[in-house]
Amino acid sequence: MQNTDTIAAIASALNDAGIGIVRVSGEKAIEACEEILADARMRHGLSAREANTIRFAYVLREDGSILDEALVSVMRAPHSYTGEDVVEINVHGGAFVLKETLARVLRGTGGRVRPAEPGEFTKRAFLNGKMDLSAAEAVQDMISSQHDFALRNAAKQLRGVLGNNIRGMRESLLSECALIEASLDDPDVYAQELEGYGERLSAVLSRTEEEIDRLLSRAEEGMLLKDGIRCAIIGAPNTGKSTLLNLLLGRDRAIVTDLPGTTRDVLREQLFLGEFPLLLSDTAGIRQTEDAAEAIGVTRAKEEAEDAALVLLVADMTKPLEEAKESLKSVRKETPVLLLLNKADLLSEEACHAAKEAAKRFFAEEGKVREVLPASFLKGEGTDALREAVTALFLKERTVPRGEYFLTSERHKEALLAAKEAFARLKKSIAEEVSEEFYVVDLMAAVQALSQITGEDASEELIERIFSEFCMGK
Amino acid sequence: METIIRARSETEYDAVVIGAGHAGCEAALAFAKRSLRTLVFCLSTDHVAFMPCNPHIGGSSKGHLVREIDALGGEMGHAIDQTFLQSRMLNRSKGPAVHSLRAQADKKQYSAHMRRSLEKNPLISLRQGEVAGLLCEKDAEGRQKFLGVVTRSGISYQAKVCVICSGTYLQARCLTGEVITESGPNAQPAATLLSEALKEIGVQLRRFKTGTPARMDGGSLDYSRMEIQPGDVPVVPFSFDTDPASVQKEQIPCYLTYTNEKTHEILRENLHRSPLYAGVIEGVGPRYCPSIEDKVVRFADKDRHQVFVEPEGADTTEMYIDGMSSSMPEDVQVQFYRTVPGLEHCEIVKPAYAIEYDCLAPGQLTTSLESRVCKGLFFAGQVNGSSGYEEAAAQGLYAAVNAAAHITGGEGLFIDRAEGYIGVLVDDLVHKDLWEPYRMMTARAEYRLLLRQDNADLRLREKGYAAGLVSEEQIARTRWKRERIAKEIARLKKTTVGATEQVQVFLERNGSSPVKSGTTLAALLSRPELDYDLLKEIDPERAEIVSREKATGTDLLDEEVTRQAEIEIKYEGYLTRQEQQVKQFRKMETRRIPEDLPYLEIKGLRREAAQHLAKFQPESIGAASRIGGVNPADISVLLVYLEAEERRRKKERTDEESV
Repeated sequence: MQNTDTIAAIASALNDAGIGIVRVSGEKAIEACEEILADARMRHGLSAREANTIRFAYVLREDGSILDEALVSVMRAPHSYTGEDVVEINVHGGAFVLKETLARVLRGTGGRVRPAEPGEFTKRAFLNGKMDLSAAEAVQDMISSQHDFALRNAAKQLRGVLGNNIRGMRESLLSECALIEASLDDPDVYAQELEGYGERLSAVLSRTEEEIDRLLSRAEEGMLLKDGIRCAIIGAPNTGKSTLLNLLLGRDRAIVTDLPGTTRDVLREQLFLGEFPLLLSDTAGIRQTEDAAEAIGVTRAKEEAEDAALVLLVADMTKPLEEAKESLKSVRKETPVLLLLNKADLLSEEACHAAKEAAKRFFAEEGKVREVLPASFLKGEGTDALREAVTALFLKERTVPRGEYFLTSERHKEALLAAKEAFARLKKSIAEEVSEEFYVVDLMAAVQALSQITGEDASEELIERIFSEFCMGK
Repeated sequence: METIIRARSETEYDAVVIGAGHAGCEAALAFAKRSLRTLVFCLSTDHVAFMPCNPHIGGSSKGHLVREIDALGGEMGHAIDQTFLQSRMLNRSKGPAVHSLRAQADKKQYSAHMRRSLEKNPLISLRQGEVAGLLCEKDAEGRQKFLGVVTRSGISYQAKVCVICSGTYLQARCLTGEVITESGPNAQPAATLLSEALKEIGVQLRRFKTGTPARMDGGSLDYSRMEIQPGDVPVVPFSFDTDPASVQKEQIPCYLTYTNEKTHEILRENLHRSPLYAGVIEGVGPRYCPSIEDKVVRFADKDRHQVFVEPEGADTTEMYIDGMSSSMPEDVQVQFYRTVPGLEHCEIVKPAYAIEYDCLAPGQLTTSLESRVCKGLFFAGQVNGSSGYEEAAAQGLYAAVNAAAHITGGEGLFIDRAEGYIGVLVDDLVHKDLWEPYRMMTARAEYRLLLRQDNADLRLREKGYAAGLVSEEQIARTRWKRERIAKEIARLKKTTVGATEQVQVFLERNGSSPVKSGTTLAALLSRPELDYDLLKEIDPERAEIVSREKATGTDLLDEEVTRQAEIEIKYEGYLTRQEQQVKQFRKMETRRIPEDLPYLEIKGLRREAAQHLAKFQPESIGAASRIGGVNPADISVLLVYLEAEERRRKKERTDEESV
């Protein structure tokens, strides 16, 4: 919120070549990037650089080793996009390197940098007079749609175990605050609750911190907190779903055979389609099956379909479409579906066209299928049309905003680390045996950090909790 | 007795105050300090500053409010210092931010003190009567302006401003089981005409509810079956002006007892006779002050609840049964009260009851506590949705200073959330979608480490002085104290003690690790195991200062000063962090929002947020961000919109100039 903070985010549309920009803006932008960048002779010196220059630099890991090569531009206030000091680091190692670079900026010792809020660069650009008055409404729209997207995206990620863990931690910390507050507010009744409290709180903190560490380590492994628009590839068995995944990735990720039912588990991959980050899942073919393992795979496929923000339905155009329709049952009504009619190479152009029109009619009533695209994954045909269709779909429906991407995981990680910092201060307070109201300062800081992940407001909730858990007043 | 000559026209005043409860009294006294002629209406002038519920002033966070009222030049602190029966500093074993004074009041004496304060002021007229109508006029833009009031007896009074402090009296009705009485608290008459008058000028009302326990004949109680609760020795006064020596007196004890399974059983069996559970009560009651039947239902796993037996006054045996408010029928009350140890043979003097009353619906006040629909009309106290004597008194003073500014021009009184509990109180009342009576709590104050009861004068006296409520003598004392604290902090930070044997022995004796080399007194003071008093032993200069100052009689190193110095040093880390948070907070507060923005038409603002913003009309970006249903993106959208509007206006101006 505060315009004086220095902010950073992955700010470019990433193209297929994987070049992307980490943008840092604010008073401490240059200072913050200084230590993580070195020139060809491994010297630091960003702050001495002239404004409006682009130079080669290495992005360094924490241990000083080279993470990636980059082109770095330095712009000084007010001559930049945002009107503030801006550093842009162009790296080319793909999504992983981009995220790592951003992490280095956020956690460097040069200065405090926080992840940008949705639409924040543009907001600053406008507020600092870098954009024309006529852009105001567009900027307002952009901020709100990006925020909506970030929220929806976060909400999806927070379904399941991860969300429950974070909510659980948050609630237990809030309960501790409520206990302290109740005791302070009505000491005649609740003062004894705080006897030997430091020890009790320490136990809660250790438990919670372990949980946070576990989440963080899994985040590092990329097991959790993955980013991107959740996109499920579904369809009947042996229609070419895994081939599509491999095709989009440009490598053999999934095992592909002629046998129906080869894919059993859900495979997840992060990639960019056009300029949109997708979290793609390849699923087992949906059909009735006696095979126990395959049946589990089918159930998972259905779950993926239900959770997805975009569904790629793959069908074999040489076969009847009833099976494809069956697969669609698990897809929610509002989720857009793109139907890929695979194996176009087996039919004539005319027959292809006829099959496409037939499919359109067949799914018209269903209302979920937005576009029918003939394709031949075997020949690598159809991905361009898919990319265009995805772009058109997202831009038209404004499901996803353009321009700035918010790696939810990075923000989540930042929040978890902030909670840990609060814990460190708390432990010091407990060791020094200061009075409990001082604990609340850091307990609430931790709660607020976790609230950024769950998107809840903690201040009112604390009061609610005091009243609901303690019999207050006389 | 000296005759007070109130030279004035009979029907023209500067200000009218409706209600002479805790809000009304502070409002009237504040007006008078501003030299404004004030007419105070009260349904019964025998009930000025009446305490219809509990017999104490202060308590957690409420004690802070009383101190702040006092710092601003209000009367409540003086009144309780002169009429208390017992006093305790709550949370004394905790840090200074949550220390809170609470005193048992002699209700009759308290009321008499306040009435005398009004009576002896030549600018205040106290009048028994009910206000039935409001006189308003519309200006050219169709906005209403307050002109005066009409009483039930048909007399009109003109005034420039009005503060409505109607407490729980508007359309009040009391409920005891199946029996409903159309009356105000304690069998006082209800105000039955003002609600309609308010609705007519467009003020929206709603119903709230609260309750009070039975009063008992002390002679029928067996105190040997209860735990005695004595007051503190020594007593700390509420007012910064009170000489501590003057409040050291013999105190009257309170008693503690408990409900039990039998009590709960009777309550459960008779739940169907409670108007709350039978659905007779329409008003919303507070969760922080549950009736005993509520406690039994909502906290079913608790096998006992605490009950405090407190005196109502020194010259009555009437006792207040704190913790057992109820709206059960009288016959049930007798049954369940008599299950409590010590209350077995209790005789009820006044049965418990619940009370329902009209108060303002949310979103109708500005931060001056002025009505949004009628200029010059202010509201204070329970009518604003708060509860508690202290909350009411604080608002009364606050509203009156702002109303006075409305008459005389100049700055009103504004206190932000980082300056005082009163700031938190007003901000919440004005911007929150409250759905139950609002009670102050220290948990509501985000910057509470800074908002201590011990430094209320340092925080707010200057504001009281600027508002015309604090005298030259009072402000001089606060300024002197501030100076003296700074001096002592500087001395502690500068004075070093060497690693001498005397120092090491001292440290060891007090469980503190030895020093390696010379260190400052401040550094030692910040060690948790050491305090200012202990350090006297290795701080020889202190004794010198005290004796020198005693000799000159000017500059005493008294406890008020040294305590502040100690707190500032001991908790420096935490205090600095809160101060940083306050800096962030203020940035948002200073970004103003113009009135009447077309929120519903602002692009990108979510509908829910727009509706809430339109309802509460926040005056700053900070206030907007605290309104429920408004998220950070909405705030960003709003910032962009405001910037665009500003540029548009600038552009229009330059266009006009170039024409």
